[in-house]
Amino acid sequence: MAYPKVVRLILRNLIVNSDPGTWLILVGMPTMFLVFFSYGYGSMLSSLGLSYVNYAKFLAPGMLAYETLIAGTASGSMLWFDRRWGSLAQILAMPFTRTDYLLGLILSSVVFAIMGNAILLVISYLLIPGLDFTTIGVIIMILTLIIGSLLFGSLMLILASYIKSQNAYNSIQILIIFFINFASTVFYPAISLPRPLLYLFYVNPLTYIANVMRDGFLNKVKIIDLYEMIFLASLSLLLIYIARKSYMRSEIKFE
Amino acid sequence: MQQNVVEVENLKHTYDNKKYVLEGISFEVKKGEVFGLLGRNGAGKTTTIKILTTLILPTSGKVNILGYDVRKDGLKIRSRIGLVQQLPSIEFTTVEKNLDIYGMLWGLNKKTRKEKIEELLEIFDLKNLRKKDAIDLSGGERRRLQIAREFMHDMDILFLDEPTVGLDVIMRRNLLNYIKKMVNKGLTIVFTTHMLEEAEYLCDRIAVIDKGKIVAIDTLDNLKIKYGGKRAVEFKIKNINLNDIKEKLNINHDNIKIVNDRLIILTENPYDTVEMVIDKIKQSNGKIEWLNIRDKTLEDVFLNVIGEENGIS
Repeated sequence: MAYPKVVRLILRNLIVNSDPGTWLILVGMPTMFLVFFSYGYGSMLSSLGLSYVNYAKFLAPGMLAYETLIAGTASGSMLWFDRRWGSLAQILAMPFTRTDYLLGLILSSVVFAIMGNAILLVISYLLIPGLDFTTIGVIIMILTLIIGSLLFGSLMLILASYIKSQNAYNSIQILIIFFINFASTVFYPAISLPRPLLYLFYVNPLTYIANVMRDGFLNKVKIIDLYEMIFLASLSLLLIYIARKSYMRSEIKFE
Repeated sequence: MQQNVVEVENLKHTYDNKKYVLEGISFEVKKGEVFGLLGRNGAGKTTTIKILTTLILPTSGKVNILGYDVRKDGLKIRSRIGLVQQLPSIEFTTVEKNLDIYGMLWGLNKKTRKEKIEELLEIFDLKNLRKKDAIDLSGGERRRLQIAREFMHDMDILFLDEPTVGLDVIMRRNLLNYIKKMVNKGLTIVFTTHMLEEAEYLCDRIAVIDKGKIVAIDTLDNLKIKYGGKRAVEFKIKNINLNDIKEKLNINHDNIKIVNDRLIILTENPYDTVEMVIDKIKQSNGKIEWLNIRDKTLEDVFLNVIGEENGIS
């Protein structure tokens, strides 16, 4: 019996896009941040007499959150490649709806996020001594990474639907990745920030993803995490809706 | 009576609400027929194919494929058609994997996919390239892969949008023969091309499309009768001055000329003309070395139909 349509599209996306370059970006980059920043800033904090601060433990869940952003960008890139290399029109001439195709892209991002996060979790476990995960913490982390990749996957699809030039898309995507990443609590806590920066941090969904991920990672799950997850899930649904609208409009324009 | 599998009635399409790329075309295609859409670049062929394959919705008009409305039943239509689009389309993986992914997307099981892949690699001469990345193939090889891929699944109608662009002569002929074989098994083909000899070789009926309008539609033979114009009769004669015989023949000067050592006559009735010319040559004690009645070609039809409107003679 054949797999359901969306599963077939996800399988296709994973086979076509699982090249070494994709995995270098998905796992290699966060691993580099984790290794170099943990040791670099860890030794700096030590030299300042703050050796009780374990920066690696702070950064590792931040990298898991960052992974959801990177995996999310895959959906936009996949749409771009499919459009550029004729696969989009070819798939749309098959018995798939446009929504099937869109869901295939977004859910492929989720699968990339799950796979990338699993590898990062193992690396973190090997790198940071004394980590002890709880069931509730792992469940929270899994839910957060799914919501996060849905959210960023949809965001990147909206972007890919509107921007006509591939160079412009790539540049804007890189800019967004850096901006969202640095204006969040992925690398540092949002304490003692100047007020405008603080606002910026708290309108950025990656801040909430990093906070919830960190609480799950460090077994400090609180009720606020649940509210933050509900907020993120609602935002994801809204973005999926907008992505579908934008994609439908852009399809007619681009075809 | 054969059933219509494609019905198009007064189809109009505009991309920008200003200029119409299709200005009310109508035609139908019968089951098992090879129907050609012939026209210059930008005539509206690809837009027609996009509408028939439900990639874009028509601005107005009625389009039914296999009895389904393109506006409402896109999914049902797409599950029973195939499309080889004009633009290149490949996946970033090996030739074999490209075929396998395509079969998987169509819901074929692993065993069927494997059998189909072997068959198609053989037919489309891709066996030696099976492990090669599609991105490293030449333009013609990619085209072969793109066409081969479409035969991974069963279908009732195959839409081919300029499928042979980039193929060498041998491969082009192999493809056309394979298409003929599939037509004999009951497949219907809607085929666009600007290569006249292909349309002549393959199509049962042809619609000539120009500037978004169908300017002629019929079987090839009927098109030749209607639009083929005059036929050329050529003579090579010895023992006689060609200018003398030209003077003796009572033929309008526009329809008779001497080119090198040949007398060429343009006529609606080639056999009557041949008899008349032979009589005159015999009377003048000349001898015919060679004579040829050139067949009307699709090119004659095309130039007569399209040329007049575009100032080509």
